[in-house]
Amino acid sequence: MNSPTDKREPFDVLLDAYLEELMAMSDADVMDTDNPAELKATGMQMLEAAKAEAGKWRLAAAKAQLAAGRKTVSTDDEPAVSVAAAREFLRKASNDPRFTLAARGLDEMSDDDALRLYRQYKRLERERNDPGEDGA
Amino acid sequence: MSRTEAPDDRLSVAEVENQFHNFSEPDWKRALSLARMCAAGLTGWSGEMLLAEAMTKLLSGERIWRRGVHPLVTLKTVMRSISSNTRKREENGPIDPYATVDVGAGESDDDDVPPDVLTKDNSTPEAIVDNRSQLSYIETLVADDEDAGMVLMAWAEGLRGKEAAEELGFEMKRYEAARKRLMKRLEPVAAMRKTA
Repeated sequence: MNSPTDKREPFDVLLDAYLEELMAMSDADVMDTDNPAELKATGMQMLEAAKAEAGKWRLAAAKAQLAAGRKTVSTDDEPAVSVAAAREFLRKASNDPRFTLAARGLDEMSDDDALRLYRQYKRLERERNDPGEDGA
Repeated sequence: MSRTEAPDDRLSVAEVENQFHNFSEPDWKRALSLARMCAAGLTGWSGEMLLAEAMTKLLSGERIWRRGVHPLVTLKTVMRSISSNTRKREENGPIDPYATVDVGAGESDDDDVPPDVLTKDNSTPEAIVDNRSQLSYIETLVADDEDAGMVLMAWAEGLRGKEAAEELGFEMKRYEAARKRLMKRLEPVAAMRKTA
């Protein structure tokens, strides 16, 4: 009988087991000799830094989306596509060695990101087929 | 535009931030330990860097935190995805970051002969990681502890707890002792990545 782990990489199986161990361990066992105050401070510093960085990303994404929206409206070169269709397309594209999209990343991707990636992929395809297009 | 999935399925950015705010000290330790495992063998990344990147992606909305999913499970999925994508990019790139070369080896006095560039064979634990075998590297950490090595093998087969102990023929006391030693041995992964 095949188990669900049969087709997975051994490291992924190990990682899951390690995760389960971490979750099952008591807090005292997890902490061992670590300084709680130091750990908390490290975590909070990481959180603050991540919040600041995420804010910049969101702003950049909003600007890019605005620019992409304008371009789409002005050129009308992008046929409308549903989120499900875009995801299905990207899932197939993840097997294309020219691109580095991991299929597992697709499941956690937001709808907006999936559509944005779909449009990027399509644009790359067009540029490959018609290298002179950008200069027009 | 209609959405195929209900927004309620996902935590908002504020909710994600709240989850991290509510992390206890042991939660941070668990997250860091997990991050260190995920970063094992990833060139130029420490566990802390990987965790920070995952948090940023979740807080920016680039990655989704499904409602009801445990924080560590969410972080593991995102961190594994980042590490996998990074590794794939590196492997498909024009330069192999895992290769080490010895420029000038075999150099001769003859000006007409350019110096050779030879691949170095560094069979150190770090090089084993860089040869894309995370599991092999982790196995080297417990090479001198037979019981801990057996527990590691059981985990890599998807077995843990009582099931693993039974499969290994260990009494639970022996399994627990080996498990604790294994968890301790996995910590150096962090120290090695920090200094890499």
